[in-house]
Amino acid sequence: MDFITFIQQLINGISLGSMYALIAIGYTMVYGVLRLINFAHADIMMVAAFAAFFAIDSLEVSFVLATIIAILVSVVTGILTDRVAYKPLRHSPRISLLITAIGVSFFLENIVNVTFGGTPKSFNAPEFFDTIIELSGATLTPTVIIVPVVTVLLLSILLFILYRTKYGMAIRALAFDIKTVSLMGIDSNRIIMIVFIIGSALAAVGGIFWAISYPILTPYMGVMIGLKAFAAAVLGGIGSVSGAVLGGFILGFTEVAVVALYPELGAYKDAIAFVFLIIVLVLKPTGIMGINFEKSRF
Amino acid sequence: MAKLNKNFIIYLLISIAFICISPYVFEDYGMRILNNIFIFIILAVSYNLINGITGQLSLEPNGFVAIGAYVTALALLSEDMKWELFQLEDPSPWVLGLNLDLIPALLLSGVVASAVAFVLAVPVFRVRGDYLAIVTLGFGFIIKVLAINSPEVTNGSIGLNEIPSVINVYWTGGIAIVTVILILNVVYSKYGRAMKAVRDDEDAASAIGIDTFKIKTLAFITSAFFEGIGGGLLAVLLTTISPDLFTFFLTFQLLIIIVLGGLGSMSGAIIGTVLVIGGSEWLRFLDSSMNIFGYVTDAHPGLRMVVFSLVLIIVMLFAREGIMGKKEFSDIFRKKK
Amino acid sequence: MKLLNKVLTISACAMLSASIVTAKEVKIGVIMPMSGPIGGFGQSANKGLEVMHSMNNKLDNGDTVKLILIDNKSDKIESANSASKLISSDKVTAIIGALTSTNTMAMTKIAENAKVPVVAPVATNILVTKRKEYVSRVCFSDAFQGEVAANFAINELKQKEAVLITDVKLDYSIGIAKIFKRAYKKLGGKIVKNVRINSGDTDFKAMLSNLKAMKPKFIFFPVYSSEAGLIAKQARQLGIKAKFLGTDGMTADKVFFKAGGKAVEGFYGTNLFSSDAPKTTELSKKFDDTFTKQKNESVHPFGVLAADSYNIIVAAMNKCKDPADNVCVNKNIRATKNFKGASGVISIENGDAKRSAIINIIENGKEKYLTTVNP
Repeated sequence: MDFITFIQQLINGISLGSMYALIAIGYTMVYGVLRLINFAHADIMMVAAFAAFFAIDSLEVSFVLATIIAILVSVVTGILTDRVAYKPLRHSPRISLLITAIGVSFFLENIVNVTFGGTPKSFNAPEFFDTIIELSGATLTPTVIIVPVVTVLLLSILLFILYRTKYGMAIRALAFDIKTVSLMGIDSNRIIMIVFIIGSALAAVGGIFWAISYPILTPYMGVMIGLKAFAAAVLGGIGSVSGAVLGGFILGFTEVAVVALYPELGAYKDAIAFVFLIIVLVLKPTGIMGINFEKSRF
Repeated sequence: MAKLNKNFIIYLLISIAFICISPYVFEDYGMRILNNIFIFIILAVSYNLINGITGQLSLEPNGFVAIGAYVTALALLSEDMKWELFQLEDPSPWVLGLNLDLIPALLLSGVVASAVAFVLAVPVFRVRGDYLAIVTLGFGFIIKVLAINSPEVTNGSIGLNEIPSVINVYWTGGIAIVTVILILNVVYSKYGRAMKAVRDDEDAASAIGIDTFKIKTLAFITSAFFEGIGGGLLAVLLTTISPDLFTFFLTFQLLIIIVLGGLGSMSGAIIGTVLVIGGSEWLRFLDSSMNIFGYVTDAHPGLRMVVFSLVLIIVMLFAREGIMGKKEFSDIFRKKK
Repeated sequence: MKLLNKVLTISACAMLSASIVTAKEVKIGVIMPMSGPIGGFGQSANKGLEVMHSMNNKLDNGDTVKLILIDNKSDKIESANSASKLISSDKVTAIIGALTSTNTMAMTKIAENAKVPVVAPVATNILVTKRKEYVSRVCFSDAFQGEVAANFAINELKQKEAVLITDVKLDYSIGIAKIFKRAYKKLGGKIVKNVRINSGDTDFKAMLSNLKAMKPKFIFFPVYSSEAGLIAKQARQLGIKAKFLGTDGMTADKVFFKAGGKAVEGFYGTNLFSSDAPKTTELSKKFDDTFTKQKNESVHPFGVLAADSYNIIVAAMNKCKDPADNVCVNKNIRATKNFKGASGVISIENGDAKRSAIINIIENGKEKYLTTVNP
């Protein structure tokens, strides 16, 4: 393909990848600390998107305020999920937690379905995001630049929190050995709550960006995104936040590359994430970066 | 061997009598639900084998059910029908050549499903716990994607219609009984005990000499075999199948059923099936406008599903053992020495 | 006093039973997706049905017509179970439903066995009515729509080269695409690229960037509203300036206009009905006015077709001595000729409807009528 198209596809890949990255961070953090695949995480992203939609459409507030509302709503949802559904099962076999997570995921999807109806809703982002920027033949919209920048920014802040603050150290300690940590006098439940807050907030940001880029919302939109983001997290190395971001970008690029280079395989696009997932889990479960890589660098 | 004790024979006779009387008691709608229940009993009881008995959280049954459904459907459709139905691409030659009666078709479904399970067992059982769940989920999804994108075999998303409806409740009920007996046989055999050992503590089990991979694979294959048969029956009951029937939601329903009934209990799985399938029909009223003490609510479609997810969460939080826990009917009635 | 009470009670009972005996109720079952991904389709269709029912809910002989609505949640198994319940528990005489072809086909077997007529408002796949005795539809089939699209592309838009976008998860899309391909080629057109997408996809940029390199002039995309809206938006964002032609699924849900925004201006679409097309029948005018007054919005094509399904059933019932006799009602439904319905003139032949198609262009966020194509 010619150079312009290549640049265009590159831009597409960055744009898609950064959104997967934002959501993957939440998965990896919760898994790192609780060893739980929070099936409901992507649904928290969906809830945030719907909250923003509701705020803009029915409450008619400004976009910025809607974003704040969305983040608040998803954080509250995340905390509630943990308190109500996961905390009582802290010491139960993992299979119970997993099943409960699936239950919560379905519950969130269906509550939104009942409240908003299952028909697709269109998200009214401010006009600004639609402006078209021409770059010698390739076209972009502001989101393509904003999303990756914000992702990297948030990642840096997160890494700073994790490796340079007390709370961050507590989180990493919990990820290391949750039982011993509580013996050391750290209130593990509080730390876990912080993890959920961070993860949900990031999911909310991811959700808003997603809604801006693909302005059609359905209650079940989180399902595929969640699985792909989880695949990205595993690919990059489950438990490592920079791994999650790396995995997100790799997955985004691969999806775009496959469609660009082999258009006949376009229909199998969604399966790519699963193929990655299965290969990684079977061959090198620690993923590309693995938790140790991150520790040694920061 | 299955415990040929008094209780067991009594249950067997009661079930057979029930099946024989049912066409005279229920009308079409009720019969439909009954058929559904029997098929789901087959699915739930076999899903319980890998999930509850062997403790491996597999999220794959929708894939095996899909395989079974398609194989049976393709086997039962005549060649002319296939030429007509396949709109996207022409059917591949071996699909055309596939022409069997019901029982061989069902058996073939089971065999193909278990063959796929055999192949998948290698990558799947290299991981454990949550990873296992995700990998199986992934495979289930890949099977669905393949179904959509192989129009020469499956007619893509149009699916297969006009499958000859050759079954009635005697078939579904009968096969359900046979399945339960066979699986009970497995559970109470030395393999079943090994499976439970793997569930309770895999490392300890392998320490005492159990080949855990072999046992897990055995459970997986057996599970897949019956799920395939159940899928085949489902295809014939519905007379029309398409890839979007076999989504994660199907797995979710089976999950609720065995969790509600008690992971590891066959009788629990049966009770769970009746409750969930029967319940979801009964709870239909939740989806339309309701009259609560004179206050008429608006119709809120989807409320039924909310209730179901809540049920799952509540069961997991407060009654994780489910209704039967790990026991069977016979265990309850056994007199304490 | 006691005697008076007794007399009053007895006469009240007598009157009550008499009224029960004389004014019977005839039931029509309605199966539609009111929730789930295509819930929007069902809701639009049902609105039309409600209005039509309010306009005419009594048969000529005084019986009232009752509609029983079941939501099939866009699901096949639900459609089958709903049909079973309507027929055996609720004892309906006819069924309207179930909107999409796949869901409709899930219940036709049950209806055929019970000899209950099914009238499908918008199920367009050819297999829906093929070789069935009890299934009819009031919409045209994919075959007709595909040909209309191909004709319009070649003759009106004068486009000899087309890019074809098919949604492989949607039998509707596959069906129309196949017919379009055949008809287009026969008229001398060439399909320069065949693209496959999946319903539920949201990111089409990679696929569209590839297309952009080919500088396409004309794109035919028989897909549903969500995907259509997103494709439109992303295509224009990438700078693709081709003409787009869609089908009735494209504008089926308002979300197409909302999500597509300015990007969908100038898009063409085939459809079953258009509110600002010249009204061909009396009923059409009356229905349109009543609908706008009751619901405060203009009627959606699915709504009009649902209304006509109802009308045809009611007309058939009126022709039968016993309006609850499903075999007789079915016979009359299948014999409908030149029925002046709310959506135009309809004749039913072997279950298929002979009716005209509409071509619209999108202007100012709404469909504007362009032309009618007669069968």
